[in-house]
Amino acid sequence: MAAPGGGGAGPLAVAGGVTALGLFFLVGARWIEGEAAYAGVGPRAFPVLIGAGLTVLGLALCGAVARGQPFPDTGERARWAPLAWIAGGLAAATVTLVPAGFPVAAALLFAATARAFGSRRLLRDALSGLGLGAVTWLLFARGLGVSLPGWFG
Amino acid sequence: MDTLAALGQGFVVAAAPVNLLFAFVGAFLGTAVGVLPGVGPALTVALLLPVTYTLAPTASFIMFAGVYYGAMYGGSTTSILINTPGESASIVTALEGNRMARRGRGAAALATAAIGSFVAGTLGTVGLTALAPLLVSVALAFGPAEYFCLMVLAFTTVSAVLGSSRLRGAVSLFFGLGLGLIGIDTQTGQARFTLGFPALLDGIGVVIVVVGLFAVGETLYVASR
Repeated sequence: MAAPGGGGAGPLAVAGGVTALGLFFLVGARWIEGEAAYAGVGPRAFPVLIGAGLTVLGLALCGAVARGQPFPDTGERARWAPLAWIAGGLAAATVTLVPAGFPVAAALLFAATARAFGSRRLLRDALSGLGLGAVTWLLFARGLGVSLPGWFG
Repeated sequence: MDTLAALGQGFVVAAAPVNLLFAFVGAFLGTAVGVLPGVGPALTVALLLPVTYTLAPTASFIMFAGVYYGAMYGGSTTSILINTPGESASIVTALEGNRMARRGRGAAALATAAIGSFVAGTLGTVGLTALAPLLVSVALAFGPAEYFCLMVLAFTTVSAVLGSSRLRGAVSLFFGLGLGLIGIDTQTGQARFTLGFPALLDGIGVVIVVVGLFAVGETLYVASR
């Protein structure tokens, strides 16, 4: 990411994101209906407060980045491929949980996370995930009565 | 001295070997389930409820007590070893204990957490038994203004004292407050920032935030280095 010592695209993107989130809360507060219930404090009060606070803090963060204040950084470059694998695994597990069941979702998530950490043996990882997911499902769904989807619905 | 007599009788019942065995089983199960990130003490007790259906009431109460204390302690294991506090109570354990573990003193950190949990649980139970009637009047004297002051104290302390930058601490605080805005306003019943998704009407639960922030976040951080 950025070199240690502050500055760079990463911290600036974070500061910009915070400002954008503050503006989102501020603008979104206009769409909330409802009258002020007590002492002028209604459902719009806290969104406006938090939106204004986030916007001000985001601008302050942008200023800090522009001034070159040091951000805590290990100095190593972040690798994006493992992030993509884990995010993809999480998305796949979320999507397949209800149609395909908990063991299948666990297998997908386990295999994707193992791949993110550098394992190349996808079949072994998927089978391990399937086994772990099945044991967990048995323990929780059969043993404790938690409603988890089993094998394919 | 009625209380002491009743307490004495309770200790006699609890000291029976079979009840001690149930306490051990409860503590074991509670620790095992409390280790899971995202599953806090209350959820652990709720999950393990069916285990006690077949037991006598005394035994199931004793087992529940074991489950509760085990769950309170269980969150420290993942906090110290893999920097993944499973619930909000274990976050401070993760801050200090993980640093100890990285320096090779993980066993000392785990032992400290266990002994601390035991001492704190004992003192807490004794305090509850002895002082609860006295503190009722104090608790009832807490009104909305006092709760608000407590909240402001907690927010400013955590965001300004933890970490190296007050600005980033304040950003985290406001981001968390913003996440809490999503859902139905409890005072007026208005839906806020649900973006048309009915699933967001209940808001974003604390368990989801904790698991997403600590478990998934830590995994992403470690994998990307």
